[in-house]
Amino acid sequence: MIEEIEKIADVSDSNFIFKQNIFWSLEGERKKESREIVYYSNKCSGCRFCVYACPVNAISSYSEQPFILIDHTICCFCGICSSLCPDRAIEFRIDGVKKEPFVVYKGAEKLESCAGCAVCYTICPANAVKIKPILKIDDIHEREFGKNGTLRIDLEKCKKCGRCTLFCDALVAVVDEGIVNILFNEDRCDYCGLCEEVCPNKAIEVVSEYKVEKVGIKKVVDIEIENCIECGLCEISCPYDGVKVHKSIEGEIKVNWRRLEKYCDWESCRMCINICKSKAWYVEEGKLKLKTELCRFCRACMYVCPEKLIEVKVKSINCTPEWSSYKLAINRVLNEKTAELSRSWLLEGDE
Amino acid sequence: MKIGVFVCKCGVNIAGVVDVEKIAEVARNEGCFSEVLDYACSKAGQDEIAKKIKEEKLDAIVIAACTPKLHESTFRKLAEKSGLNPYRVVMANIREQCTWVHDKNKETQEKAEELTLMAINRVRKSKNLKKSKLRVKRKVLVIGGGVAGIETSLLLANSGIDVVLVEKQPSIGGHMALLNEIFPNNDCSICVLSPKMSEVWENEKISVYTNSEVTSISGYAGNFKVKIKVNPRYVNEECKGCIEDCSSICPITVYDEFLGTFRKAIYLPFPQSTPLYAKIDSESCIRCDMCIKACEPKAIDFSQKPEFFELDVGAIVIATGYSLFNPKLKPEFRFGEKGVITLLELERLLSPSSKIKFEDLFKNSPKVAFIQCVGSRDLSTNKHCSVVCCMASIKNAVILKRRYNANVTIFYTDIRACGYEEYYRKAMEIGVKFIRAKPVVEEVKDRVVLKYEDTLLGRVLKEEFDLVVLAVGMMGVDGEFVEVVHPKLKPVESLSPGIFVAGCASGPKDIRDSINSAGLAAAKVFEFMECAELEPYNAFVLPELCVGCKVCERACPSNAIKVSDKAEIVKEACRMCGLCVSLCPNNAIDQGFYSNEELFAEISAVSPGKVIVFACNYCAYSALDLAGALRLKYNECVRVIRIPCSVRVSSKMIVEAMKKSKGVVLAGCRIGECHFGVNEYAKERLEKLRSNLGKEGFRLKGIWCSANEAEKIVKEIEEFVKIVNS
Ligand SMILES: Cc1cc2nc3c(=O)[nH]c(=O)nc-3n(C[C@H](O)[C@H](O)[C@H](O)COP(=O)(O)OP(=O)(O)OC[C@H]3O[C@@H](n4cnc5c(N)ncnc54)[C@H](O)[C@@H]3O)c2cc1C
Ligand code: SF4
Repeated sequence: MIEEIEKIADVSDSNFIFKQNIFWSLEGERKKESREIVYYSNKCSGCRFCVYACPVNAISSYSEQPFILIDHTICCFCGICSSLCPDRAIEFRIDGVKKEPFVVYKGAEKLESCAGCAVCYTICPANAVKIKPILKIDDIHEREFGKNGTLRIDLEKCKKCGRCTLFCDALVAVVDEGIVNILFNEDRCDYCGLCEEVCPNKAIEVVSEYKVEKVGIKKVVDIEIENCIECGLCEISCPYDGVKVHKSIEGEIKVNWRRLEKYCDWESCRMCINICKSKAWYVEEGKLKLKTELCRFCRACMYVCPEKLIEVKVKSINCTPEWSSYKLAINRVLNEKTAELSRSWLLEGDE
Repeated sequence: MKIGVFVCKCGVNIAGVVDVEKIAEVARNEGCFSEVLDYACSKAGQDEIAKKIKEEKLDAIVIAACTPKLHESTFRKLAEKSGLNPYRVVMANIREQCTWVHDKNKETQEKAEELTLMAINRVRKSKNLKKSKLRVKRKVLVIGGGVAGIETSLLLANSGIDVVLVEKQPSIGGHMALLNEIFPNNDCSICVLSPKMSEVWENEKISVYTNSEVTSISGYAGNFKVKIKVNPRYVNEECKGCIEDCSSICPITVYDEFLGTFRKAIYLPFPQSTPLYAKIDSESCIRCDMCIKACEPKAIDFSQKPEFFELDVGAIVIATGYSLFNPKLKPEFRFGEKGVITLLELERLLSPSSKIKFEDLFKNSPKVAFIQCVGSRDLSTNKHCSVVCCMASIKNAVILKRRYNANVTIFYTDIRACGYEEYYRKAMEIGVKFIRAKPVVEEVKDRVVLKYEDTLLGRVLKEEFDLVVLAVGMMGVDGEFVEVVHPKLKPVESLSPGIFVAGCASGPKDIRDSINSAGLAAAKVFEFMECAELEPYNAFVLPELCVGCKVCERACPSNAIKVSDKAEIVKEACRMCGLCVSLCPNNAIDQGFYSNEELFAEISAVSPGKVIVFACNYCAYSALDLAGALRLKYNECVRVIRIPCSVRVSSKMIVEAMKKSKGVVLAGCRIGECHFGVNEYAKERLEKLRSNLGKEGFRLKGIWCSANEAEKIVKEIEEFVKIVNS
């Protein structure tokens, strides 16, 4: 027999914590189960997937942070919202144990060819790349400046990834109008030749008498899947084709560019630019532009655009759950339908 | 071979239009024995024929009289008694298809004579045939566990036959288990049904599969192979049926269309559910898994998967009942808005087992309107009358009046209280208002505003109600009711032999009639098991001609043909449409009674300049007989040849007929309504032939009609005759 159901809502920092405690007696013993739903509002992109996924319509949406509000009195603590959240902004726990979602967003996968440069680390919009601190040259050997030798950078081979510059301050990356250049500072070099090995592409050649033993550090990049939002920016930016992004959501984004020319006032509005987590919207030469490859079809920009100039269709979410109500939830997300609760006036008679 | 020809006068029906003596004379000139009888079918007529068969040592007989559909079996029995093979009898239909549809003139006389000649030619080629006994498995599949399915199952099981009862819902009982009180004597519905339900469940001869579906039926009458899918209920047999613990914790409430009310995702359809195991509806269960914790006997098992198994049964009874018309399809009633419900929903609100009670929703003495015929007797939706809704509304009106002192108005088209007139009177006496009108819902606010034209007073009025109840009509479970062989004389025989229909599956019925038809279905199954016989019309292979090309194997709609070296036909499985006979490129397949020889002989007797109509025995031939009964006149040049199905007529046969005549008609069932499901093929063949014939193509026509479309077939034949004559 159910004895008591307790529902609590709490806010800590910018996170919302909803809790349900159920007390019941089984075989004469009082038992308790506690379920938790945590909404990390900073991770949320405003896609409203959860709003449609929710089987009891407990979630309402807003166009500003926090993008959603869960009515904890209606919430039935099933965790479907957490399963479908592409930003992994909702976490579901039963008795403290995190429940695995039924939709697995695969995200970015590091490939063999990853050279361990740091390009992705610098650009990832979701901070999903962690870089293990690369050893500095000074940690390996003590430099004696003023020696003679030559250091040549083969500009054909150099991919400007900047890994050498993280290693040794004799090499400096200079950004000039968006183009990266690697410059060589003779004064800081003792021609030890270690940079040859750091360079993933063997673009540096050092000739000298003072060459030192190996460096022994190869890969330094790690992807934290829990944070990856599948935007694909790393994949198109990686100089070594070292990463593959599995986009779990397929769709289509259409922009009415003609009307956009006329009505869009991006300079003061910037709604799409600000809300898009994957930075698919950007400004170039004084114009608002869209990089479709980066779009993850989350529909957030469509919801906030005040002029309704954007249309996003989600065609599929790559997941085939066995349970039919999960399929229905996915279908609702695809079709932007909330769960139907028809004929509810008849329920008024239910005690 | 000595042939006897008996020409029937049928009073003035035949003799008043044609000279019967002359017909007899024509037969005599053909070397036959012939005789005119007053009424061939009467005892005197039959005795005379029997006497002559013996005296004249006849080898075959022709009866020139009415349609074979009426008396063929009579004369076959007579022949058998007189020592003649019953399939040596051929009837010339000179009444329905001659004297009833033509005026008294030379052409009519000529036609009657020619029809007799055609029959004589045909009977010359007839063969001795024998019915075969069918071995029927003594196990019956009953599909649908409503009151009809329950009754059939019990009757069969009590007669010692094994029954497999397959029910889609988690409990047997059907709609009757949902009703409140039932007319005519206001018994509590579930109280009278539930003893029967448990009797079924406990009967050793009946295996009940709930939550299950039949996914395929193959084989043939007497030996069906059926596949059954048992859907998981996610609750195992540890369930004690207490339902309270799990359902009270289940967060999901859904509206169940079949139940006409709300329920949780884990539920028992009703407290008396049989079997008493809960079910989790996977469509709405969100796997929060809270019921797992709440269930004391640990009966919840989400690892269950659908199970499939196969069964061999001898006969099948379809008792799938009805589904209710979806009132959303009639937007003028604004169903779904507050205060507009269906009759079933009202039954549920009034039922003692319902959680949501009528009195919680409506104040005392509410004002209630019933709107009848929602989706019935309506040209834009279902044309039929749903039979029970008038009575069901009156019943509920009386209950509302008695229990809640309600003010009730019934808006009707016509009140159909057949058999229960006194019940209707009583309702009027206690003050239920009856208004002949079909209102629309004009506005839904606090109350529902109806606007209607009182067709008896001729006035347009508006009135407010607290509750509007839509008497939605019945439909077949897949939209259509199951068709039966004859709505009056064979009401429980489906068009497929060995498959019977009980209860509302074949059309709207109240409980009494459902029980009646369930009883009849059980009796018919019993008869079928004991003495099923097969007509000898089956197709058979002439092995010396068969080259094993497999054309027949691919075409056969009943999967009765297997070709290994040569084709082999399973006689019991053959449904006798004749498609393979017409297709075989080497004439290596023939058919009993409708053999190539017999049909070609019939064609050969048609004189030049006529129009030959090949008419399917199931529909077109009956339509032409009906045209006779309705005395719809058409041109005398029409010669009808009876065939088992339009696919029986081969291209060669059509070409042969076209050589002999001015024009040829192939008449079959409406496309898609073929009894064997193959007449698209006949249509295709006809069209190919028409285009191959080029300029001559206009002399060939297809007519696709049902057995009751007499006017249509006559009109189309008349048009065709005009075209070929001009
Ligand atoms: C609102 C209302 C009130 C009524 N009141 C009365 C009354 O007072 N008195 C009276 O005499 N009659 C009344 N009736 C009529 C009564 O309901 C029917 O006559 C009776 O229920 C018919 O029984 P049945 O077994 O033929 O069909 P059903 O009760 O419909 O049973 C059919 C069963 O077959 C199952 N089924 C369907 N398809 C399949 C499938 N493919 N596979 C397996 N199983 C399947 C269904 O789940 C169902 O359990 C009323 C009807 C309505 C709608
Ligand atoms: S029974 Fe009455 S309400 Fe139902 S369809 Fe027939 S006439 Fe209409």
